[in-house]
Amino acid sequence: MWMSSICFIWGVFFFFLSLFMFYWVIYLMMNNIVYFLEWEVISFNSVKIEMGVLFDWMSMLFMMFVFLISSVVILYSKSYMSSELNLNRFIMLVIMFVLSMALLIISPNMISILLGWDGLGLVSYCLVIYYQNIKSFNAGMLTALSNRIGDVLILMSISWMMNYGSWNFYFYLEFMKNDFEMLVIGGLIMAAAMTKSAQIPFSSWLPAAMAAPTPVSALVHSSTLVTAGVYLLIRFNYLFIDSYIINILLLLSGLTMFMAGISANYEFDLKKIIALSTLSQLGLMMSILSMGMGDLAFFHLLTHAMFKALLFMCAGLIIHMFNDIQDIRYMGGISLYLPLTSLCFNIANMALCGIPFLAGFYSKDLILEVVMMSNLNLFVFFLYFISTGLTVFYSFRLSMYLMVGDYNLMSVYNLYEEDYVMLKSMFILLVMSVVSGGMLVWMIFPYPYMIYLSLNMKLMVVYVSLLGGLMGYLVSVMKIYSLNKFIITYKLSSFLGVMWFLPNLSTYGLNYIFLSLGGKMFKNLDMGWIELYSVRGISLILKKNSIFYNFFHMNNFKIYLFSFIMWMVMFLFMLII
Amino acid sequence: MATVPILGLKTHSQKVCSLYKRALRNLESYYDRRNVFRYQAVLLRARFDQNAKECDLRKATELLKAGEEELFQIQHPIPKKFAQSPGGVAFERVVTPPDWVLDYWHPLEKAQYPEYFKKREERKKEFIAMWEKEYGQSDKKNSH
Amino acid sequence: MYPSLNSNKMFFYFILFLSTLISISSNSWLGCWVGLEINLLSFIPLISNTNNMMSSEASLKYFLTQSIASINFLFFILLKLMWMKNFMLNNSISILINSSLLMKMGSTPFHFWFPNIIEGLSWFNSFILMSWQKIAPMILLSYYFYSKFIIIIIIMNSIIGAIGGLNQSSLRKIMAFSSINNLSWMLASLLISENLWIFYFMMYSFLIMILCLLFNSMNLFYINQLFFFNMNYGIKFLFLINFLSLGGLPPFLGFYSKWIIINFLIFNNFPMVCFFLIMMSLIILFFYIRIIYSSFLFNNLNLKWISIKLKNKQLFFYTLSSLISIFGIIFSTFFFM
Repeated sequence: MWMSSICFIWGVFFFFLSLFMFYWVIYLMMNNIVYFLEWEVISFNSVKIEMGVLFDWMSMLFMMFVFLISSVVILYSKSYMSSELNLNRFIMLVIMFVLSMALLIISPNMISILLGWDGLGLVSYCLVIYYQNIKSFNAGMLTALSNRIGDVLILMSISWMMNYGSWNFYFYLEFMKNDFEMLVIGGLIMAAAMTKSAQIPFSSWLPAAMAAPTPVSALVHSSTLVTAGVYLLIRFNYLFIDSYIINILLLLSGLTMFMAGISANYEFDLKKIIALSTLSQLGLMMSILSMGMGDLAFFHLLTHAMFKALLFMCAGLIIHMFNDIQDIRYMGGISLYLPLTSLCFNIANMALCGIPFLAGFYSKDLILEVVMMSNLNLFVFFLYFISTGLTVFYSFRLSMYLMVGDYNLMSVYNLYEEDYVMLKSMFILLVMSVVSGGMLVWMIFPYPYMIYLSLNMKLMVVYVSLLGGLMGYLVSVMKIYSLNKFIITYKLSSFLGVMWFLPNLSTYGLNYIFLSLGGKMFKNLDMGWIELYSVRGISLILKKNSIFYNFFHMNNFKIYLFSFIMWMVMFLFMLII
Repeated sequence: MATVPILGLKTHSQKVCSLYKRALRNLESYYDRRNVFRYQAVLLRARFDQNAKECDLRKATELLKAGEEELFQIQHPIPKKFAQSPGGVAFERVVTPPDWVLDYWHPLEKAQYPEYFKKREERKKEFIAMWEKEYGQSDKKNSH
Repeated sequence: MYPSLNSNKMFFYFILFLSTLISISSNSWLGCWVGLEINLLSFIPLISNTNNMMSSEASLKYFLTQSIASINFLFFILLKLMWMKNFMLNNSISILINSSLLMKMGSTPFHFWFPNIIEGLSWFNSFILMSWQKIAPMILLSYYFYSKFIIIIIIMNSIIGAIGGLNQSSLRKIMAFSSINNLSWMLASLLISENLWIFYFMMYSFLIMILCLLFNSMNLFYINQLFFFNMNYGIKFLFLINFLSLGGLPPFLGFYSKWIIINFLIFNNFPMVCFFLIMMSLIILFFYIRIIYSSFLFNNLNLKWISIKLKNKQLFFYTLSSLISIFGIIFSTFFFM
C-alpha cells in the first residue's frame, strides 16, 4: 500500500532522476563539455523558430537540485496531504510545475523559455489557490497577475528579438552587446526577472503566496520558481556586464534585501517570515549578480534552495502539529516535544545565517567578501551588511519564539513526532544543507577566489552577525517590565511591518486608477460619444437620407424623361458655345 | 470589523464591554507571553474601572469615544487570530457540506449505501415524532 | 427556371441575344445603334403578359425610356460624325454619348425608370433586365468615355444603390437597387479593363440568376412573404448564402470579384472610388442580411396548409449553383495550380 502510493512512486522517480543528473554534472564538468541540441521548427523569410536544448553543467546542476527538492517534497506530501481527497491532482500539479521548471532551465531559446515561464506562472497560480478559500483566492490572483507582468515583458523581448532572425539569445549575448536593441531586450528581461524573483516593485506577491500548502511553499516559493528570474539573469549575465541598466537592478535588489530583512522582524506568520527571508536572500543573489558575479549568485541560489526548502518543510511539520496555526505567538517550547524537527529547523536557520561550515557559509561569506573587495559606494555597502545582520536577527527571533519559552496555544496539550515520513524526507535535505556548500565550492570553482582584506573588514561579517543575534535575543525576550517598542514607534513599525506598503501598491494602488478610468471610459465613450457618432448616428443618417431619397421616386414618369432631355440640351449648348 | 458595535442599537454599557473586549484582544496581539499579557490586562482593567462609576452620560460618552480612538490608533497590524476563525489563515479551508445535501442524492447513489440510508430514514421519522410530541402538530395554514 | 416556352417567345429571345451581339461586335457607331434598337424592340414583346396589367405598363415605360435614349444616342453619334474627325476626343460629346448609354443601362442620374419598370416584370424578365440588357450599353460605353464623369457616376451609383434599397419592402426593388450598386462596381472595372468587367459581370449574373430563379420558383415578391412560407432550412440556407455572397462577404464567391476589383482600383490609383464602393457595399450587405436574418432565423410562421415543393431537378440546380457560390473561391484556386 505504501509502495504503490503516487507520492512514493514519483518521489523515488525524481530522486533517481536527480542522481542521474548528478552523474551528468560530474561528466560535463570534468570533461568541460556543453551539449546543444537544436531542432528548427519552421523558418519564415529570414526568421527561424527553433526548439533548442542546452545541456551544460549549470543547467544540469540546477536540474539536479530541482529534482532532489521535488522528490523530497513529494515524499513529504504523502504525510502532509494525507487527508486530502484530491491528492492525485495535487501531485500532478507539482509534477507539472517541475516539468515546466525543467523546460525553463534547459532552454537557450526565448520562445521555449516563455513556454516554461508561462507554465510556471500558471501552475504556481493553481497551487496557490489549492485551498479554495477567499484568502488563497486573493493571494493567487495577486501572484498570477504579478507574474503576468513578467510574461508580457518576455513576450515583448521576443518581439524585439525578431530583429536578429532567431530567438537563441545564447548566441547574441556577446556579439550584439553594443546594439541598442539588445540593451532594450536586456532591460525587458531584467524587469521580467524582477517580477518572478519578487524584487521591489513586485515583491508583495511572495508573502501572499504563502496561502499555498506548505510543501508547495517549500518547492515553489523558496527554491525553484522564485529563482527562475535569477537563473534567467545568470544566463543573460554577459549582456549586463558594464552596462548601466544593471545599476538599477543593484539598487532595487539591495533595497529588497534590506526591506525583506526588516519586514521579517515584524511579521508573526511563520511561513511569511520564511518567505520574507527568501525574499531577502533573493535580493542578495540579484545584487551580487548585478555586480557581475553570476557564478556566485548561482552558488548561493543552490545552497539557499537546500536549506530554505528544509526550513519550509520543518515549518510545515510544525504547522501540521499545531493544527493549521501559523502564528508564532501561539508557539513556543517546541524543542522539548519535537526535538528532531527542531534540530532540522535550527540547522537550516544557522545555514541561512552563515554559521561556518554549513551550506550558507560558503556562499554568503564569499559573496560578502567579494562585495568588500569591489568598488562600491557606502549606501550599497551598508545595505549588504545591515541585511546580513538582519538575517541573523530574524532567524534568532524565530528560533527564540519557537524553541524557547512556554507553549502558548492551549493549557493542555500533547505534541509528539509521530511522522517519520516527513522526517525522513527532511533528513535528506538536512544532510544536503550541511554538506552542499562545501561540495559545491569544490565543484563549481576551478580555482578559489582571491580575497585580501584587513582584519576588521574580514571580521565585519562576524560583527554584524553577532550584533544581529544579540538584537534577535533582545526583541524576543519579553518581561513584565519591558517597554513595548512596537507601540512606542507605532507609525514607523507599521510602515516597516507591511513591507513598506508594497502590497497596497500592487493591489489597491493599481486597481483604483485603472478601474476608475475604465468606468469613465465606459460611461463617456461606450455609452456616450461612440454610441452617438458611430452606431446610432450612422443609422439615423441612413434612415433620414433614405426617406429623403424615396421622395424623388414619387414623381410623374414624364418628369424623369423631361429631366433627361434637359440634361442633354444643357450639354448640347455647352458644346455649341 | 464585524465586532464594531452599531451605534444607536446598543446600550452604553454594551459598547463599553465591547471596547474592553477588543482592547484585550489587541493587547493579546502585542504581548504574547501569558504572564506579561495578564499584567497588561490588569492595567487595562484598572483604567476601565477608574471610570466605571461615571454617572454623567455625556462625560461617559466622551470617554468611550476617546477609548475607541485610542484603540484605533494602536491596533495591531497583524492581529492574533486562530487559524480556523474568520480572518485566520485556514478559515474555510475545509468546507463541510451540510447534512441535508445527502437528501438530494440520486436514488442510485443512495442505493450504494443501503444500510445508512435506511437508518437515516428511521431517524428522520423519530425526529419528526419527537418534534411533534414536544411542540404539537404543525399548522397546515402556516406551511407553504 | 422555365420561362414560358412558346415559339414566339423563343424567337424573341433569340433576337434579343443576337441583337446584343450585333451591337457589341459592329465596327461603326451606326451598327451599334441598330443593334441597340433591335434589342429594345425584341425585349418589349417578352415583357408583355396578358394576365398582368403591370407588364403592359412596364413595356410602355421601357419603350419610352429606351427609345429616347436611342434617339439621343443616334443624334450625338451623327453630330460627332459631322463635327469631328475620327479619333478626335471631346469631353462634352463623350458626356453626351455616355449619358444616353447610362440611361439605357439604368445608371444613376437616369435610373428612375429602372425600379419602376422592374416592379412590373416577372422574375425571369427582371433577371434579363439586370444582367443581359446591360451588356450592350456597357461595352459601347467602354469604347468612348470621359473618365472623370464616369467616376462621379460610379460614386453616385454606389450611394444611391445603398440608400435607395434601405427603405424598400419589395424584393424586386431591392434587387433593382442592388443592381444599381453593382453597376458602380462594373463601371469601376470598365475604368481599368474589359477583362475585369467580364469577370465581374459573369460573377454578378451568376449570383443574381440563382436568387432570381429561387424567388421565381417560390413566387416571392415582397419581404413580408418571407415571414410565412414553409420551406425546409436547407433552402432558407440557400437564400442566406447567396445573399451574403452577392453582398460580398469574404468566404463566398461574391467576394472574389469585389476583391479583384478593389485590388486593381488600388493599383490604378483610385483610392477614393474604392473607399466609396467598399463603404456602400457594407450598407448593401446590411439590408441583405436584414431580409434574411429576421425572416428566416428569428420569427417565421409555419403555415400548415401552404407548402412549397421544389422539383428534384430544380433543387439539384439550386444546390449545385449555391455550392459554387459558397466554395467558388476555393474551387477557383484549383484552376491555377
